[in-house]
Amino acid sequence: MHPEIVLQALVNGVLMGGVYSLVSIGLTLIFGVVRIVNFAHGEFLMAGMYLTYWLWVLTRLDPVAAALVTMPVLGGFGLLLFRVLIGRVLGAPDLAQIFLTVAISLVLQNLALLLFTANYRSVTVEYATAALRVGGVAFSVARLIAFGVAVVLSFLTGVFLTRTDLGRAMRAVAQDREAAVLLGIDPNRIYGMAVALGAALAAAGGSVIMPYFYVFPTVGASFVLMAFIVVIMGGLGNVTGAFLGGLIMGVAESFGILLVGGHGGVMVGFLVLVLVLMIRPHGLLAAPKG
Amino acid sequence: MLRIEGLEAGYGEVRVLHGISLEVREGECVALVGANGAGKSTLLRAVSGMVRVLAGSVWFEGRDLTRMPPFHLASLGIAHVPEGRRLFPEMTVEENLMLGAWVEAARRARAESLERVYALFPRLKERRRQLAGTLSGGEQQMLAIGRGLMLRPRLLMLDEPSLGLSPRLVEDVFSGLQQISVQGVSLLLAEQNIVQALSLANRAYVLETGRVVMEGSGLELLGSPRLREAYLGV
Ligand SMILES: Nc1ncnc2c1ncn2[C@@H]1O[C@H](COP(=O)(O)OP(=O)(O)OP(=O)(O)O)[C@@H](O)[C@H]1O
Ligand SMILES: [Mg+2]
Repeated sequence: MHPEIVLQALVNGVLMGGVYSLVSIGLTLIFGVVRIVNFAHGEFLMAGMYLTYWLWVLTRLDPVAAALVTMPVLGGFGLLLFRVLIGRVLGAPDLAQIFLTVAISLVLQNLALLLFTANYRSVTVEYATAALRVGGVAFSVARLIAFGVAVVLSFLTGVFLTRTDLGRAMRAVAQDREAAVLLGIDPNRIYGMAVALGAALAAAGGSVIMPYFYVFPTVGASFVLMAFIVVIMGGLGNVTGAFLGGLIMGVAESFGILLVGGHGGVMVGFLVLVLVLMIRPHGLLAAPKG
Repeated sequence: MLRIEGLEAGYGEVRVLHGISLEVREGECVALVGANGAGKSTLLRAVSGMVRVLAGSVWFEGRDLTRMPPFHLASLGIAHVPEGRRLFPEMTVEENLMLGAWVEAARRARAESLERVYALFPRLKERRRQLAGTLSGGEQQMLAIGRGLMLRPRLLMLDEPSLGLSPRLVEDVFSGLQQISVQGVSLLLAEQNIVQALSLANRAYVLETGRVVMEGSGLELLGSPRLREAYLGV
């Protein structure tokens, strides 16, 4: 195989992986803080994509700029969802929580189907096919921008979690909820914010991929599957682990497609997950909890 | 300042506290002593709203704490250093301390409180960038107390601060508590280390299977033959 083909697959993988990282950070944050598995996470992305699509159709707003709209909108939606539904099942058995988020996922998918039909839709930006060439390797401009925004947002999330009072409170609730309550932290407020932030990050991921990705009602499913692999690989609730895991999965998928073809992507992804877990059973970065 | 009346509390169907009444006055250090399973932790946890109160009341400066969401207590000036320290293990010493000053009033004085805590426990200053989970047992206990102090509490409740510490460290911790008490913070101290606790305390309550069986001044109880026989084996 030509080295340039391998290099190209690597570049494509890393660029896509950045978006997986972003979406996965949202998912792992919600899990780590709220202790709930959000099966509707892919639908946050899907909603972000549709919103980006319609903003483009109606106002020609650039999809990447649309993230400035989709993030607060989906963040607000996430908060509402927590207040009205998710917050009510926190003390309930795991199964009830799973049913709830799966149900939310199905409702949102079907709502999208009803409103927007099953058609594949896309936007056409000027830079859709533009690419920078370095040697024989092409860097798609749209993918570069998506990657750049995803990395910046992931980094900012890290800064938020480590450098702000609210971010520290979020980590505190994740590490020991009861101790946090004794310090005066209202866990429900923190949970709501974690869901909002997670939803906003997924929505941003949806916006930045619109220049090169179709949107359809079930588009979230493939992303959420990837995000679950990433979250497990990175260590449940571990944000840095999710970031690394996203990049690894992007590359794994890219090589899967190169070597196995079309559906090889997720397959190779699972293979990599199994390998990682064989070496580090608690994920890339999570310390084993005694 | 804190007044508990006829408190009954427990876990699920199991009642652990059977009508406890006690009081902590402004500036006082009150010890709560008793054997394993007597209900000391449960009592503190009931005050903090961490276990369900089945009957009775808990008043703090005219407010009924049993009708309040638990996270509200810190803003009233009540700090609870729980059993087992309960630090945030994957955060640094300083981050743990900063979180102690989460409520608005404490946050405004955060930098000053931090210096005060570091002055009280210089070890913590040396270790400020270290993860709390990697501290030694004694350092962890100091951090737990320091985190409680960051609130600038009016009432500090401590659950077995000497647990698992070497005799020397126990001395250190108790001399720290002595200083805190002198500064005017009211203390409610649950301890199995009876001699140390009673020596520090103005008053004390002895708990047995969820009931107060003796109360008096620290020195009185230390000299009581009944207590010495039951708990000190002499
Ligand atoms: N989470 C719980 N669920 C059920 N029962 C509990 C729980 N925690 C404590 N208990 C029971 O409540 C009783 C009082 O326990 P508590 O922890 O208050 O005692 P303690 O005086 O603090 O003891 P120690 O000195 O060992 O800390 C014990 O019989 C204990 O078994
Ligand atoms: Mg106890």
